[in-house]
Amino acid sequence: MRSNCPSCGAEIDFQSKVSLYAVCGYCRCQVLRKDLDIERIGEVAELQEDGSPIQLGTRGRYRNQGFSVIGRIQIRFPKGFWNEWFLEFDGGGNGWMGEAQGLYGICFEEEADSSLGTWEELRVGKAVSIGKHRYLVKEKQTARCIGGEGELPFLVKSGYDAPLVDLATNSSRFATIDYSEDAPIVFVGNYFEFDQLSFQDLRPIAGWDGYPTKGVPSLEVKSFQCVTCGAALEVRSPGASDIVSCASCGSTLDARDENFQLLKQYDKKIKKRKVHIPLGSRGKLFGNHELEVIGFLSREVIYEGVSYKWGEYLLWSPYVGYRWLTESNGHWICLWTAIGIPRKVGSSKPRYGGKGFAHFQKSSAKVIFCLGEFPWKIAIGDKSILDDFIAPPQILSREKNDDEVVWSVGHHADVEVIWKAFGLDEKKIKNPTGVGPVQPNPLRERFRDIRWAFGVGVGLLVLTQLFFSIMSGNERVFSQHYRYEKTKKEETHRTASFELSEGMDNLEIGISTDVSNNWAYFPMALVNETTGEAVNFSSEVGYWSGRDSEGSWSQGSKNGRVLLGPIAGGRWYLIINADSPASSVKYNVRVVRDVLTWGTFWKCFFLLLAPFMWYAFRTFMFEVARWKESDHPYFESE
Amino acid sequence: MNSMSRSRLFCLLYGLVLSFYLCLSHVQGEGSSSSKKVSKVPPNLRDNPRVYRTHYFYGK
Repeated sequence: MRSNCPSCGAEIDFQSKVSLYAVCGYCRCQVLRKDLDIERIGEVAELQEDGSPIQLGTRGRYRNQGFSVIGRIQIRFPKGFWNEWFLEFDGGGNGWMGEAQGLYGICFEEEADSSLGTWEELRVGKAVSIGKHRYLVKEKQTARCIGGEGELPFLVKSGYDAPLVDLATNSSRFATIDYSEDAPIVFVGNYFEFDQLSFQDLRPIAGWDGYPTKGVPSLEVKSFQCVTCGAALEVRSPGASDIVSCASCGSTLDARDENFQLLKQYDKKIKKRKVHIPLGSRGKLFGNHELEVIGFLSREVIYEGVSYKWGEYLLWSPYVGYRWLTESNGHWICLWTAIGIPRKVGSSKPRYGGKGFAHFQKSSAKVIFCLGEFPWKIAIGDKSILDDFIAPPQILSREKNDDEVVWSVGHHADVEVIWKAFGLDEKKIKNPTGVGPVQPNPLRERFRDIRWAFGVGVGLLVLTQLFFSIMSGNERVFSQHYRYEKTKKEETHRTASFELSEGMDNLEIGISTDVSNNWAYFPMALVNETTGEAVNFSSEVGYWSGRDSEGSWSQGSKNGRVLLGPIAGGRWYLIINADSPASSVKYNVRVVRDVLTWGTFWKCFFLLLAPFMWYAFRTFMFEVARWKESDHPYFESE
Repeated sequence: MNSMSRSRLFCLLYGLVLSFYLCLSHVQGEGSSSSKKVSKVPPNLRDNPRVYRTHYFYGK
């Protein structure tokens, strides 16, 4: 339905059947649709510039269905602006898209359950069931509605407060409960990445090309002079940033104020921190989207009297929002706000994205230096409690301050990747020192291979040994009992000849005796009857036993074993000599052909084990170095 | 071929060489005890164990 504004005459076009109200884009007059006519209700306050890339007319796709943005309500939170865009779907039906700082959540109104509870009853962290899903209260705040534009299904009153409860799950699913009316209004939906919604006809923003936009750029970088020292400053994300920090004098200025009013003047003696990536640098680190470095801050923790400092770069794109890049000892981590609340948040091993994270470090961090612009009113001295959980190369971080708990997720980035992404001078590359918290263990991949090969190698050895244990003849070719008498002069025996099978097999000569608390020595020779070739060898046995205060004991063995090899086939006999201090020794000599041996098997096993153990040790030592800086080191230092 | 598969291949070859060595030792009739070979014992010594003992076991 098309009509004209009763106030200024401009054309007003109602695209949605459910839209009862519309705001004139020229005179901000709000009108009510009445059958084929419209009626003036009043005026709506001017909306604030918030740097949003969405505009009336923007198109997108939600689960294979196209939609158009036809209206908007702008809401002001203590942390910035939030937009609720009213959507008209191509197949009919309407929905809302919440948008702020690169976060896009599409939601729909759902019937409120009477068991929801009142605003006062819902505490942060409380579990709430809506429909079939269970949510946790993430945030409670009173937002202020600034105004609206375009078509809307209800009357927008400017400047009213809306008590809102944000609920989250451990996935992208979320819910919002609006307590601004008598009965709570519930919206449920899902968060999406910018790329998932296939936007078209976005708002053009000067300096950011390559996006499907429509219209003339209406938002540009603001250049001005610092009100304190006159240094040239810029607001690179106008509408989105709350403050600008001057690099020259350290003053913090209000980025939303027309005159960039001074918010805070810091001591000029504050030591400046080294900034590796200059403000204004752009690079692609997070997918295909270019992001610009707009802010830098340095934080410090004091642990046992020692100061540990690191730098954090704030990156921004009007389309995908904010990302963080942290640098500590040359180790870089890319970070972004986690969508949803991780599972088992109360434990030391929370789970996020199907992955378990181990607690690494808890610290109380303080901002010691800041530069550039930020979407909140950052101040030197700001404190927060940080908890880092790691699953290298990924990290999950919880930041807690007086007002909120924020979960961030990220991953390690090689310094070369950072330098290349931002086109930095390779000569000035800062090589990392030590081991980073989520630096990938370079030996882990190789160790995985070694472990695999060790398993395969041991398998091959066992199979080979099993094969030869089946194939071994284990044939007894001779056995004879003898008696050694010390008083007799003839203690040397020549055995009967025995036949050894053809081939070069080994030969076991076993001796079993009845020595007790004594020893016996048997020098022997295996002689080939035909060739006269001989093999001289010996075996010694000794066995002692007794009883003492701790009970009975024994030592040594009554039996001996000699393994000869390889021995050729043919007829052989033994020459056996015996010697012992005992008066008499009964003994049995037996000869077994082709017995299974284990010596080489164990030699090969240890040769396989050696590289495995070496890599296991090195992999472990890398982890020792990583966890050395954590709250849970492998070895406590003195 | 990436480095991962190269190291796997190298380790696998190492395992195969060791298995082959184990095979060889079994085929050749491995023994483990120390022994001393005498190329040819004279018949008079062979047939007389006491003399053999004196000559070879106690080195007289």
